[in-house]
Amino acid sequence: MSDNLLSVRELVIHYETDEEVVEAVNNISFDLKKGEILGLVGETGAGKTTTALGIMGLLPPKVANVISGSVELDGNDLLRMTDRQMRKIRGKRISMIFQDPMTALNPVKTVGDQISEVVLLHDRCSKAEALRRAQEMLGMVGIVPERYRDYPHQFSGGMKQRIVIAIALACRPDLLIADEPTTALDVTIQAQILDMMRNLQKENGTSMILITHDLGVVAEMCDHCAVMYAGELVEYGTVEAVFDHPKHPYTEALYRSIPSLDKDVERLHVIPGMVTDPASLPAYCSFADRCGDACGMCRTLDPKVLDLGGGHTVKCLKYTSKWEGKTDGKTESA
Amino acid sequence: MLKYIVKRILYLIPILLGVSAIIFALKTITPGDPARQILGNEASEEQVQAKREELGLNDPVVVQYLRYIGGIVTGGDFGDSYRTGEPVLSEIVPRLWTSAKITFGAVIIGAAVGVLLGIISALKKYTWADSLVLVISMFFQSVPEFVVALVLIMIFAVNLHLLPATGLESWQGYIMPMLCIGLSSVAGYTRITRSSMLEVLGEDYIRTARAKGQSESNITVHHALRNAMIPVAQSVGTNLGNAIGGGMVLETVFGVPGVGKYIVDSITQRNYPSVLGGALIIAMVLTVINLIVDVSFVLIDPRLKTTIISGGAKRAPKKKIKAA
Amino acid sequence: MRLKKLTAAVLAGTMVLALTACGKDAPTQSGGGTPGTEKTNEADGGGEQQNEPAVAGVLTPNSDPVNTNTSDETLRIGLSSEPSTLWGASEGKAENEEQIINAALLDRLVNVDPVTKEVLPNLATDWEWVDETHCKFILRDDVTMSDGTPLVAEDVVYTVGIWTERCATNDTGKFIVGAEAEDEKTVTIEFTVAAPDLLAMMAWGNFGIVSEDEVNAAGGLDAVGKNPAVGSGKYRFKEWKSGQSVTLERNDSYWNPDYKGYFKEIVFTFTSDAAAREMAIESGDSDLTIDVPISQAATYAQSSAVSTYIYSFGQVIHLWYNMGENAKATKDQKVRAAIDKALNFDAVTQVATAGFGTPAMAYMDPAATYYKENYTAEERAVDIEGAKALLAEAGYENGLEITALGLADLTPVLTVMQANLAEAGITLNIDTPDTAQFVEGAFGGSYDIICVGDDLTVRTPTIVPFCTKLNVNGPGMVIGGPKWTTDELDAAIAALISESDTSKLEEQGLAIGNMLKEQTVCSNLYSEMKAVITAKDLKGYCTRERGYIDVTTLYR
Repeated sequence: MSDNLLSVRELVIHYETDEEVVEAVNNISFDLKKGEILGLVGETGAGKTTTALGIMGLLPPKVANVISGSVELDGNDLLRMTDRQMRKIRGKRISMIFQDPMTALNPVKTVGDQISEVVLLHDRCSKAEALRRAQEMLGMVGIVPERYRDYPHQFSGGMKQRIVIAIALACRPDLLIADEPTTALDVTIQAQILDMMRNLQKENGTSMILITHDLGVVAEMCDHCAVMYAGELVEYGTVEAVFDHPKHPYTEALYRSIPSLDKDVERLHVIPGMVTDPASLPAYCSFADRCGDACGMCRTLDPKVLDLGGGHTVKCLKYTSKWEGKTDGKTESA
Repeated sequence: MLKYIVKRILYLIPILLGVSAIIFALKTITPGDPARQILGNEASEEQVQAKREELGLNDPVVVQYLRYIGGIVTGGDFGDSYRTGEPVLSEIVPRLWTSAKITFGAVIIGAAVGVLLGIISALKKYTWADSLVLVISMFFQSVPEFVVALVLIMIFAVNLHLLPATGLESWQGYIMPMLCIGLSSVAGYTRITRSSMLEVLGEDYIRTARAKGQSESNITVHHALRNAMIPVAQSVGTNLGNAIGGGMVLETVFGVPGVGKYIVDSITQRNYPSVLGGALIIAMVLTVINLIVDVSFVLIDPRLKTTIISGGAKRAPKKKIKAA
Repeated sequence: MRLKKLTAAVLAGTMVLALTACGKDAPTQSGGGTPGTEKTNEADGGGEQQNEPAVAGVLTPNSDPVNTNTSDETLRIGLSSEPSTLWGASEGKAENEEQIINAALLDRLVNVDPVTKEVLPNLATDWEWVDETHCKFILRDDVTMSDGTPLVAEDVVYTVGIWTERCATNDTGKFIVGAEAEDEKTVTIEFTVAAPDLLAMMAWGNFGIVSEDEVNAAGGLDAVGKNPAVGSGKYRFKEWKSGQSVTLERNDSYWNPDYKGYFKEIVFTFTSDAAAREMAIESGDSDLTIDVPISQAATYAQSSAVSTYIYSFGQVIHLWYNMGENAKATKDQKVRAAIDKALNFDAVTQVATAGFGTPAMAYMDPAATYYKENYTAEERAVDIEGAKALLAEAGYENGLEITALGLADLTPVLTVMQANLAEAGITLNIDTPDTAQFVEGAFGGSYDIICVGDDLTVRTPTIVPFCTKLNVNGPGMVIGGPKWTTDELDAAIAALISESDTSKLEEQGLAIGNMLKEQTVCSNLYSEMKAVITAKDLKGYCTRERGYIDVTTLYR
């Protein structure tokens, strides 16, 4: 327990509007050790970003509500902290990189100002010192430090994301949450950015939650992998376990939808049906309606999280003793 | 930058030609003989004819128009007032200065109050404070300016004896006209500030700032405000036109010797050289001020510097498409 | 959605509150006056006013004792518009504001008592009609002009020369041939027509005397209107801030030691909005304002914060029927009589004077010394059936459409007429263009009926101008009227003007009135009224010709 930097327990987050209640995050739990990278994968709307914002305490006020659960950083529950305490943690202990670098930087402030801002907020130092630190950070992410006086619009997309990373890492946070950091970038740049992130992460010993829908990135970068579907953590384990022995039918389906260079497939596999509407989740397994292996029981019971050993957990009735469906579903998929 | 400014000043020419042509046309199609206007009702027909000849009113309209434009271009001659016989320019310049002081003050008051209310209602959106701000700003927008003016006079001059009811003999005389014109533009600034603030507060870079651990008040002031001010600053130019328009009515109510009152009086007196000259000079001043406002955007929004310096807005949309 | 509705409700509530607050404000100021009397525009307001004398809060001009003190105080007068000159005669003009200010700067040969209308000595100690058109004036020998030189007969000759030269086409110069100096103190003015009352006209604003030297010192005749540092009047020109104010200062070397100007300075400011001018008085920024619309003044009459003067000034508004070349239906006397019968003169007067006036019972004004009623109450009563019968006789049983021309401020009056005439089957189209278009239409005679007033108290050749041959047949020198006259009528007017035996005037005036009545040349509406608001403590409000304010007699 002590080497867990972050420990999320039974977190439930709802978006409430006048018209409907969206159950965005449903009872998820996971741990993150120091220096580890956790890949959070899932389709759009699975609740990955909500989980991240929940950890950051940046959920949109009034609309989003944390219903229950805890998010502990070094044993302290972030959800019980005051705004003031959380502000000390954000940027200093936990940093976040957002999806679109084009809009993540303030267009009317120089990048130097924007990097030094976070330094000034958390480290007691002079403005000049903070600016020096900003230049240092720019150098670290591969940008000529002298450009600290430039405005964001003078940089390309990839460079902007480097600056965003520089901001995120300026105070050497313990945890970095990267929400699809490369999605908005050109493919060639994606690899550079990821490489740089991994190097910086290793150098600083930063823990990281990497939110992505790109399984390849997870395989390359992460230690652990968590698969989310409709606000639930359907499978969790080491990258090796989850990739080599996917247990949940959804995880399996995800793998089948990855284009492969080795196999000559005419059409990519598509998971049938639409992503379950989080505003009207069924009382039973939320994947049941799209699941190729589902049996009658799947449409009556909501599965519990099962530990399959070695920290590999799955939320599927298939692995319970009561299972009565076709167990050979797995072989079919192989 | 210089090229841009020169270009903008050159745009003035067609604008002013248009304005002058329209007013000149109005002058010729409206009934009423200027010569009789000058000479009075009891002048004889011969006197009227002689005056028409003297004023060149018997020439074709186009000739009259070209002569007028020629006078302006060659000697800054906007003609003589029918009523006083003085050169229009020398009558307008001191009045312009008076109006400028009031308009400037009004814009500052309007923008300051409007922006403040806009920020409040954006930060407190969908609360009672937001609704209250909406009510206040809509009140000042929907109630005609002269009504506000009379109510202000009633309160501050008649009941409280704090400010003079009319005239500009002391500095206190400026307060009510400024307040009145300013308040009517509050609604506009409030609405623009509110929507622009809400838009900016939803931007990713605000989330970035929050992720840095920055406090909400600092985010509002340092990150949101300056970005939100760009559309507000742009509306200052438009509002200036409105302020001058509002000034026309209010200068009359407050007895302010400004261009607005001058033009209104000249219209009722059918003093066309004064109307024409007044309108042209206001158009000129407005264009120049709009230019100054535009150039000053560069100070607020560094992105514009590249577009302006590189000579035109043509490149800007392209960039946007790429960004999208 | 809910929020929008809530906002709308709150907004509506605020508006109502604001409005009631404004409504409450007025009676508080008016010192507990009956709120109902504020609505004087409607006929029912009139009924109320007949029950209780609304005139209670209204003061009469020329009724305070003469001022005997001087002070260093400043008098502030709010005018509705800025004059273009301060000496109209020098530019051949006559503007209301200019006449008021100029009367304080320049002094005239004679004065007229505002109450008795008696001609009094002023710069001239004595005068004598040499013959019907020549009047000899004996000048005072103690008058100094603005440059310190004494007034001499040559100054009068020079001034009369300006009138005849620059004002040849208007009332100032039209009736004057010229002047001749006999000696230093004796001057004879020759008039174009025999009219004893032209002497009284010499007391009017435009007839102030200047000297050639001071005019030249002030920049010559073309510039003196802007810088009128001339004359020997009770006040001297100090400053004119264009667009802002005109300042006069007391002439402490005025020739008449009995005269006391209370105020050291008089400042005229220009604000076109009457309510703003009134509020400036309430706030203490201003002491007096003229040209307040009567309906507005009626409200202020209830106020204890200001004094209100509402008075008639010898000018009757007549509704003239076009009988000239362009005339259509109104050429027929039956049509004219039908309109006269259909009109409700009580309602018209009520609307025009906010209940302060009464319908005219003669062509002449009650203020004229020769006034005599020539209408009975029955004749003035509404007779729709009679009107319809006359119209049927004239061949308009199926209705008639006519156009009324008037200035915009007469719109309420014309609207009442429209309603009256509609009952008799006459459709009245109201045309109230701006001044210039009005003048053009009135000159050309492009109307069926037209509302205009004329001064009827002084028997100058401008009296009954619409029916004198000079104007009707002349080069279109008069605005409006019937564009028609007869030899008989013209002769009667000429006789009235030239009559020197005042005992015959009443008969002569009546004769003209009856001629007009027989032919129904015009319908007599009401005596026009002026309204003035002053600070509560301001006294000595006196009038000059045409009801203009005399700014030199005011005091606190």
